[in-house]
Amino acid sequence: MKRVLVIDDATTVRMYYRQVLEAQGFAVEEAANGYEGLEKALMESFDLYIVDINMPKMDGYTLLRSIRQEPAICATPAIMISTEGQVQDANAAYAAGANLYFNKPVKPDVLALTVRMLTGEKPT
Amino acid sequence: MTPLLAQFIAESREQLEMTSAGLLAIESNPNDLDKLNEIFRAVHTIKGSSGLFEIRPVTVLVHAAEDLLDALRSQEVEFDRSMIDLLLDAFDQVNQWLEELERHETLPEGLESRARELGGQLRAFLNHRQVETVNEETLTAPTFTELDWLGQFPEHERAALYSQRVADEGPLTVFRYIPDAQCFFSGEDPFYQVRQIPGLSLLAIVPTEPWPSLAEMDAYHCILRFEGIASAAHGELAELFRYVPEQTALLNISPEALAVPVGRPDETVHAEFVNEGLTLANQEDWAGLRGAVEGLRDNYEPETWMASALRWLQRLLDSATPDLTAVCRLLEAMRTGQSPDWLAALAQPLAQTADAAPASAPASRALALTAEEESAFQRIVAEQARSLTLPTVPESWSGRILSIFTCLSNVLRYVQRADLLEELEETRETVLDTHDIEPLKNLLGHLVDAEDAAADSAQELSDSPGAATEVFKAITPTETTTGSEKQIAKILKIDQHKVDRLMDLIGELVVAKNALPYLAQRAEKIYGVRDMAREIKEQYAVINRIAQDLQGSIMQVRMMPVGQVFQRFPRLVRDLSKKLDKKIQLIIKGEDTEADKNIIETLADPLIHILRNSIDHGIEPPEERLLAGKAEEGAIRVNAYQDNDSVAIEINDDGRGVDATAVKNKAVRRGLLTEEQAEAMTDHEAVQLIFAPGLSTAEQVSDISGRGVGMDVVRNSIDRVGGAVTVNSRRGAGTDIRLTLPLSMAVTHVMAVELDGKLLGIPMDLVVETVRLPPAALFSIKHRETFVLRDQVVPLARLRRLLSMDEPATGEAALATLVVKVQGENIGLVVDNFREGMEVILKPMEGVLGSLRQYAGTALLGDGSVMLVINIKELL
Amino acid sequence: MPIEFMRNVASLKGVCTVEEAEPLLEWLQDQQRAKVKLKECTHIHTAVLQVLLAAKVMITLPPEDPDLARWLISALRGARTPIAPPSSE
Repeated sequence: MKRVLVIDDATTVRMYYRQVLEAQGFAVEEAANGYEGLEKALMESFDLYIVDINMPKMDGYTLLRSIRQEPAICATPAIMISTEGQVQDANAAYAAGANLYFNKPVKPDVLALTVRMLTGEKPT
Repeated sequence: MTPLLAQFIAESREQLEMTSAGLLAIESNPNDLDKLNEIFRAVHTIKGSSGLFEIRPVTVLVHAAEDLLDALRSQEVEFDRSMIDLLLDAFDQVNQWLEELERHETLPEGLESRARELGGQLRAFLNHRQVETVNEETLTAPTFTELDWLGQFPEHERAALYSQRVADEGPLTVFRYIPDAQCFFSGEDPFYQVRQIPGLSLLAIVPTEPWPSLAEMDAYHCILRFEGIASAAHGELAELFRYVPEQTALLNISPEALAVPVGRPDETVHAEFVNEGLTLANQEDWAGLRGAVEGLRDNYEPETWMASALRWLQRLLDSATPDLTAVCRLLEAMRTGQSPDWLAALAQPLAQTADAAPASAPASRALALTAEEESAFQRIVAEQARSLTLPTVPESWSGRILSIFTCLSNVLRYVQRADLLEELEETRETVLDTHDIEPLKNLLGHLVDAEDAAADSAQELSDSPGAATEVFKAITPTETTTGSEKQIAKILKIDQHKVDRLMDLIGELVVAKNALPYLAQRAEKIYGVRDMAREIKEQYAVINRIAQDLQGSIMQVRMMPVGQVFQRFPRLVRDLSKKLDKKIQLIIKGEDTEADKNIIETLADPLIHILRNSIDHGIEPPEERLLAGKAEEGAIRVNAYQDNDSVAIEINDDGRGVDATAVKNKAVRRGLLTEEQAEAMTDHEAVQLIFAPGLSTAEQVSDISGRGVGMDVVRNSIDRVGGAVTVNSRRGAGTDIRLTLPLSMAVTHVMAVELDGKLLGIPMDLVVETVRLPPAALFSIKHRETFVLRDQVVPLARLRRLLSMDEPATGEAALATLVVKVQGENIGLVVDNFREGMEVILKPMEGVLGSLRQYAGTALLGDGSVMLVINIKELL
Repeated sequence: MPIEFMRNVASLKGVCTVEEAEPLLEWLQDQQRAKVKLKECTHIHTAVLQVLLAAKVMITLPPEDPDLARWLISALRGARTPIAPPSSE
């Protein structure tokens, strides 16, 4: 089973990702901020990270930069998702180490398809 | 109500509560930046989550509040008391809408104007700032939030393009290109660039701001935007715009997206036609629907919106196999007179379309990837190319490259192009060796073309069934069922919440059955029916046995092998030892040992931490090992086994061990120990100090285990579930760490004690013994009450005093004293009286009470009363 | 010189580069009823295009280059570009 780590400070948003991805057969782990996310990422292995930008303790950019510098986990794909309505610079996300960037909210089908593709999980 | 909505309402209320309290604090101290940040974050969270639901008013209003708070915290606007009132009003409004949402699961129409009104008042405070925001937005990357703008192109031109693309099934890509305002200075000519777009079919050149008067115009400041449609694949455009990805938005669309009705709105209600049309469409009665459209068309002036919509409907229906979803979407649009949301339609998975109209999917589509897959593929590849153009720090370079390769190899697997994996792997090696990304760029370009070619060939071949089938096999995923999957199918998969619920109920049963002995007592003492009391007791014995069996069974369900956690170890050891140039062999035993799921879950993090420590600090580099006369390869052994009522896990390494002197020195330097204490301490005791907060043994903080998470975290998490951890160091020969954990956490044994007429619980595993002390046995050492128990001086604490309760004089009566062991030390705890030991289901303190650290939780007793269970460690 | 200014008509020829934008703008600022001739023009730089659009200038002769004519004329008319000849409708 492919494992996805969702890092977002909003419980509802994490629950949303969990629902969508678990329905697709993914195992989902959560972290509520960048720091917690980095700890989880370092301690367990994942096939994909989904990272929010604006979070307490450690923001998404810092988290992605740290991930890309850790040899054990730097090869893992990451999706960065900005908060709804915020016009954020996609390039900042890519420069920090994201492999794909979305504006929130991401429709369930789009999320499911993209996560499947980025983890190499065959279509159902 | 969906759990997601319920969660949203609960979370938002919590955030709003925090916000209101915070605002009041700000009112009295406007300079409290921490508070402001806290409020901002709470509001930001609500806004982020609100986007998941159809509740625009909430999103709009909260967004306005967020902007104001953001301006406040960055001190762009000055604090004004009236802001607080307005913000409070806004949040009251949101709260009210949440209530509405809770009752009806949806918000009534027409609230958005209210949201905009309130939002406008909030934004009034940041007028000057708004101008900047607008400018910022025009500078950031363009995106498509809708496709209605396609309506700016004349309908007949779109119609021609539509029929052409439906006929040849070629790709269509919409683009928007907003060149940088300063681009002329870097020698760019955006118009030239646009003219190079392959298959450019429709183009609009519009200003990004109102035209300045000629007198004020700056000829070298670019204010143009280019948008349109090309009859070309996404990849071709991405290639063309590869140097300005942040200034372009590209999207693969299907021809239906061109169906944007335009024209004068009319007031006629079309509901009846829409309903009839939907019925006909769902029956796939295309002839009937065409007839209905024909009949209605003459009722509208040609330049009206409705006439335009009907013409588009006709065009969609002219196809041999009309697309049901598109037809329905256009019909629905007629109900409201709004353009159909083709962007959302593009995001719909093919599955839905297929469900609705199994026979209607064009043959060529089924052969290749779905449109959604195709466009996701193109986007992923294009974005990898884009990220390559951005600067990065040297430390992240290989991480970025590696992650790009992981993405590509996964995506290729998904689209079943395993044939390209070898080339990918070769490129990866080359890029990593030479640090030259050119081969990767070429590969990315090649990938886009290859996928296009595959799609094209699939389409070309669709006329000859034999060949088409082969292509189909090559590029569509095949269903494979392996033997192991079949076996798993026999196992019943249960939602963990259901098991938890069952466990809660059994817990309640255990508690409820405890009421029976009380009842027996009452029967005997109050009603004087001794026989009845005896029968109740007999029944109690039976129920008790069943309850225990039930409990045992449910525990079994929750049992998981600890091996679950061990699975990640080999990878960890491999990666880390490689990074550190150490040679380490990992030997795991006892993976099958079982424990409760929750216990296993708490184990994961501490174990990995211990392992990291062993690899990083324990095992020596090969040269050092050889010098010490050890084998070059170090060994880490992980061994799990069941030990009575607990699970034991031992982690041994044959490294250098923990340097007790170094630990002592550090503890002294950090002020954890006095010199004298350190002197008196045995090495074994000193080594235990590695679990003390704020003590990391390695002199240099390494980037592997030294992230500020010391072994104290390990101790804390093990403590939380009632386990214990010990370490034993063999100087120069290795370190042994032993964790013991309870098998299950469901039932807690507590000793009940009386205090001020109420019952309090104390975890039984801490209780050493109970003694009754005559007051004369007490004496003071340095103002501290102590007593002697079997030749040992034991400090004494009075529970009433610890809980700030009155202490009535007890005279010469003996003191009921509980001897408890806290962090290895015996302490006497004076209570009013002892009561029985009991099994309870401990519920953690929740909500406001959650912050009362001196209590571990509450437990429901057999007589219905609630008992507080004390957290002694916190209390002392 | 790709732009020839004659009374109220400017004639653009060949490839108009970014350097042409400023003189053209200055010329247009002084003209009441300016017209441009694009017949022999093959490409105009974005900066020049922008000036023409802002001035809402009138075209006397469209470019002979069909491709340029197609995008330029529709943009200058403020209307949208024609694709191939209109279909059966």
